Amino acid sequence: MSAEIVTIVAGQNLYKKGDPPSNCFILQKGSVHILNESGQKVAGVSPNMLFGEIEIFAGFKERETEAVCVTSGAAVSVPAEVLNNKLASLNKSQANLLIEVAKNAIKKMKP
Amino acid sequence: MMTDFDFAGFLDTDNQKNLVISLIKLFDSIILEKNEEKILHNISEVRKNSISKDFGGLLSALSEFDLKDISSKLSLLAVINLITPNLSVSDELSDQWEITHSNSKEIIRNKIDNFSTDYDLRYIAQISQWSENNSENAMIFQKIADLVHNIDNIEELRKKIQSHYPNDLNKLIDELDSQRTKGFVQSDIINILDKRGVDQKISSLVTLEAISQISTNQLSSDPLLEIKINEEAEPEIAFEVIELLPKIGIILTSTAGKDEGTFIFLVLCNNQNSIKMLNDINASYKEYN
Repeated sequence: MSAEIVTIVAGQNLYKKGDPPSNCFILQKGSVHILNESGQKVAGVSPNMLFGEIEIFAGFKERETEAVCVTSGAAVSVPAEVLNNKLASLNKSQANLLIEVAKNAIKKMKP
Repeated sequence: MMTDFDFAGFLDTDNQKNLVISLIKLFDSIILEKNEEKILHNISEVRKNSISKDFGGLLSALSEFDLKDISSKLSLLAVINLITPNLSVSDELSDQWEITHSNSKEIIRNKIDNFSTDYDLRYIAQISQWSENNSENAMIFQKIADLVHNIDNIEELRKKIQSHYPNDLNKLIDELDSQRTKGFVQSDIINILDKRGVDQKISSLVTLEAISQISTNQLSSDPLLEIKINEEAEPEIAFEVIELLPKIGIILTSTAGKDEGTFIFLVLCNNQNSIKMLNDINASYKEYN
């Protein structure tokens, strides 16, 4: 299991609500919108930004959001295991803080 | 199994730029057939970049690289071709690209003059992919490599490639495709699509996997559409079409269109309702006979 470059095409869904959060991404080229369950845009992703990580940090089993490629490009796909290892390397209060921040971010994305 | 990942290294565009420079040097040293020591030095420079460790495919191709083994060379060139254009760099690196493109074009000419096996053609395809802005010629070289075992006269093929490269290779592939329909396994499928009016450039891209669940009868009679999207000019319609495609039928193949930002999908539709759904979103398509 390792990171891989994935090419993305406009209109492509990198993940959908309900998918298991098995990866996060670093956008290399192109643009991506994050949509909530009502289809409202809650975030725009530009190159060199990380996305798809909050459900992993929050410990959710399913995606709460959807990532749609707006223009074609490429992204680095990083396995969730990597983030979980990062989380495990933090001390308990740091990890709890990160988890709470992630859960709050997801709440704010709700319609 | 990956235990760590260099997020900081990826988010640093200067670091990504350094990896691109190392990969360009490595690609050049392989295709220029530099001595082993130089190539190993360039491999070592790629490995030194922290984010190279995060690409399993690259690490594996670097580990398996053997100067005497053309397969291992092809694997490494393919991985470099995949990764390098998709790294996010802090500037355009125009000088480095200009030098490597100039080297590549000269080597392609030389390799065309001397190829003898399908491996040689796949090698040319990798260099072509590297040096040209679109991958059309690279795909054609790969296709010629697939066909070369069925071609008796390599010298004749060489002359044809020499006269058609770089601008008219499409014409050559048309000619080879017409030969392929006479003897190849896929000829039945190509003939059916041909009768319905599908251009061979598209029908020859249909894979056996795509038609594995389709009967000959369905292929001959179900509504068949060429759907075109333009993600630059009509991104919203393009998005809706891509969302709709899995619902309306089976995608037989897809390919880049002639105009920038356009893609073409050959779709065998479930029924006439599929066409109505496309009309509802103002999709651009043509229906075959």
